[in-house]
Amino acid sequence: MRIRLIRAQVLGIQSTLLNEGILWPTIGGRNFVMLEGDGRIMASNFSTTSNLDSMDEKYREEDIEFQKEFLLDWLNEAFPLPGSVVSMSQMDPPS
Amino acid sequence: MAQPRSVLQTDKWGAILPPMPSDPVPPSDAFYGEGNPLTLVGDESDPTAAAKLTLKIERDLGTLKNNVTRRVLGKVTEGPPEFIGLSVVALVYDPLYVPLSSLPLLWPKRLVEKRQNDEPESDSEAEAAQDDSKSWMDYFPRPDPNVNPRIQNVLINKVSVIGRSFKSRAEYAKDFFMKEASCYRKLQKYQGTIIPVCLGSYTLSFRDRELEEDRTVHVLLCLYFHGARLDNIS
Repeated sequence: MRIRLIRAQVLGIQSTLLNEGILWPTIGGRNFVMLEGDGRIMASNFSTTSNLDSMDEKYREEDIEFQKEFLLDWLNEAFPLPGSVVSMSQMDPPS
Repeated sequence: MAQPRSVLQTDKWGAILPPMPSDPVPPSDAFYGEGNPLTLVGDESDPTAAAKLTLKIERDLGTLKNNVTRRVLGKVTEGPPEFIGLSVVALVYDPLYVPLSSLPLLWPKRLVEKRQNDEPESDSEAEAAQDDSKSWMDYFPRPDPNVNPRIQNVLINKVSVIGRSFKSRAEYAKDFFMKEASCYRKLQKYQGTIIPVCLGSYTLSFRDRELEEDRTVHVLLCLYFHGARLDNIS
């Protein structure tokens, strides 16, 4: 449950920024802090962001997709959904 | 011995270096060490900033991966009553500590034009390059009346053979500050929910620094929030 909450919050933050016209080259865990108590996640470090309006149209969508994939890859690695990774015990024994 | 300020300094490949202090740079602790006071003056253009406040540094968290943004934890000790006692994080963009190796290279118009002839580019790409070349010219030092203009021209011509320059440290640091500040402005309605509360943009003044561009340091002040970084959570 906790993992799903983390993933949802992080992805939500990225979507919020995109909706506000900000492309944020998300670097990973160091940019997110989980508050003590309610488990809310806050983001910081926006010095490398780009304004979507000022980006070349040709690359805008491509960059957005790349950043979305990048964040998802990081989440899958750092906070994989239960069942998304095959454990050693589930693997076929060597023949 | 320090070089006269009017002579262009170059690296071993001939690229023009931005103005650099001639004296050794003091360790960052001298300014941002624990217990040091920082007196911040609010930017007049920012209505959220206090006119003036002082914070006492509790910890210097060092710079982020961009080698520019320094995070300093502290507590406000002087200023408007609503600010006193707040735990804050000062995002400090100090040009004095921008490493030369981080600075982007700027290319002169002549080389951009040559490249365009060699490799045809679309209009938009050419325009972007032209913008760069314009800013490159802006970084030439202004002519010093005390220096023979012929010497200055010889030096400029010499480095123009390779023809490239580094962005100045102050401009580079300011770019990061502007992006961060603009982001907090745009996301104002989310402050305190998904991003920290921003307490405004400020400047720090270090009048005794050798170079003019190092004397003004931009700072963004945010409310400190306690928690665990996600890269430390398993």
